[in-house]
Amino acid sequence: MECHDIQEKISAYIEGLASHEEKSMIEEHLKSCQECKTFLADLKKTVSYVKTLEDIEPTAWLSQKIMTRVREEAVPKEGFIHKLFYPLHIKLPVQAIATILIAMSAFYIFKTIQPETRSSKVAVDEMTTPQVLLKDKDLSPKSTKIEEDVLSGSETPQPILKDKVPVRDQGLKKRALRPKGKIAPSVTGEERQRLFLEGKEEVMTYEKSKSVLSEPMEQLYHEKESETPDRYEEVPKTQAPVEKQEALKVFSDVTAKDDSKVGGISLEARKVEREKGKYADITLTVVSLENAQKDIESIVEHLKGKIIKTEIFEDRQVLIVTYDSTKTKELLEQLRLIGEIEGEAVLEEREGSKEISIEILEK
Amino acid sequence: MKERGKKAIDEDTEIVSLCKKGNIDAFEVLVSKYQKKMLNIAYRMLGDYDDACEIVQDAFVSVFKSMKHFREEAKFSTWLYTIVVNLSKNRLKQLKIQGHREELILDNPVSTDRQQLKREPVSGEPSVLENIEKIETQEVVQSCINSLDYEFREVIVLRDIQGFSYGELSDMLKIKEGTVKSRLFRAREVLKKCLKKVLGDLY
Repeated sequence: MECHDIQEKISAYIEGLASHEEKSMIEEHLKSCQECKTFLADLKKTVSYVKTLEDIEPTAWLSQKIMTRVREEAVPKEGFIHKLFYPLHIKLPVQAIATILIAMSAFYIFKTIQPETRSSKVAVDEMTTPQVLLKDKDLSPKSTKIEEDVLSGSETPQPILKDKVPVRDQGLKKRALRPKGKIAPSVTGEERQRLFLEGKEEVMTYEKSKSVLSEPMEQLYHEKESETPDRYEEVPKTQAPVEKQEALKVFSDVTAKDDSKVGGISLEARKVEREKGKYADITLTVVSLENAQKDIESIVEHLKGKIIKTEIFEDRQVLIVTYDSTKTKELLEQLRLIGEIEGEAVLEEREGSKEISIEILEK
Repeated sequence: MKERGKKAIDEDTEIVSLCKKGNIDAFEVLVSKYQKKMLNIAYRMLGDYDDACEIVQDAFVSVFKSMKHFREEAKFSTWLYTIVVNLSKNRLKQLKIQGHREELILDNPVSTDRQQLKREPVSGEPSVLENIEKIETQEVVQSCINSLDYEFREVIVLRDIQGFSYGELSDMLKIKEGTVKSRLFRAREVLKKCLKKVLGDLY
């Protein structure tokens, strides 16, 4: 047995932790080995020196200090809301959620606005070329007819209102709103007429309040190439307050510009485009217009959609249809049975109802 | 020994469960019960009274904060001592980095502050001379302990000064009992050399 091994065991030996075998072995060794004897003695002494170290007493303020700190630690645990808003730490949950919400709503708003801005852009482009509007004139004599009918029907309330200046002023104002001026007065009238039929609100005013109704009617009179003598009478009367009219014109020019940006004119432009065959989402080329319209009606009904509006022209029809857009595929398939489709790529399947325009052309 | 420790019902179980419910008064009981031992461990580890007080406070605060996470696998007191040992070790490392402890190495071991004398309680009524001798010896021993590596220091403090069992040391330091034994052996060797150097002779 080497001295080193013995010495390593002596550490446990002096504490009485050596096994019985080890103990007798060490004691046997110690009898003959002076070196290990010294080692044992030194070790014993060392441990005894260490054991002379006495305990120190904590001061009274130690536990007080500890408890003060512990209480401080315990207090802020109460408020959950406080914790949520507490700066630092890594969490910042409220701030993170708020940021995400803002980002999401911004994206959503942007997405919903996007189509509008696009169409109004197109509208502005179109408005720069007035010839487009002139084309209308030839295309739709039918609607001019309608206009005349309405006019003749509304002639009765007109005289009563003749002397009412404010109404007339309003009429003038509206007249001034026309963007194209005197270049194509009949077209404008017809245009507006159709717009009235289109926009639900304005149609409502037609039906419900006669006093309001008289005003655009009057205006339409001016806009038509005047033929009857009583209309001639009217014109100078309305133009009597020249200064007023002038002022209004300046004002209305500004509003007209604004309108073009927002939606009013874009609607017009949209219509123009539709007539040109550009705007319609789907173009359907068929043999017979009449049959096709009936077919589409039944298809749409079958898909639980609705035909909102039908516009009839000489050689075409434009249908505005709403339907459940998850049924887009079905709709397209059915339409394909009727005629040749163009532009179905525009349609994508989304949730919710969707409005599309279908243009029907005769071969 | 280890098994006995695990089986033994922790005397603090009740009060610890009160603390877990957020009872601060119960925690105060634990503080007053253990602060002395905690302070002594920290003091012998660090060799500095103010540092030791600081560490004991930190230890109790962190114990309070993590009370909920204390699963009663080990005795509460063992857990407590583990924390104070670890905090002391961290403090030593920090001081070493700052280079504050240069003077306390072997060559100049008896440089300890004289202030310490006042804090050492005097027991019994030995003669003044004996007292001074005793205090000086204690200083020497402490400065030798201060010269040890952390891993030697902690086994000496816990075993030879505080008198914990090998099993308890193994629990606190998360090392095997065999390792405790051999580490203790080497620690005593280093300490012995240091004492011999300072005192000339051990007798």
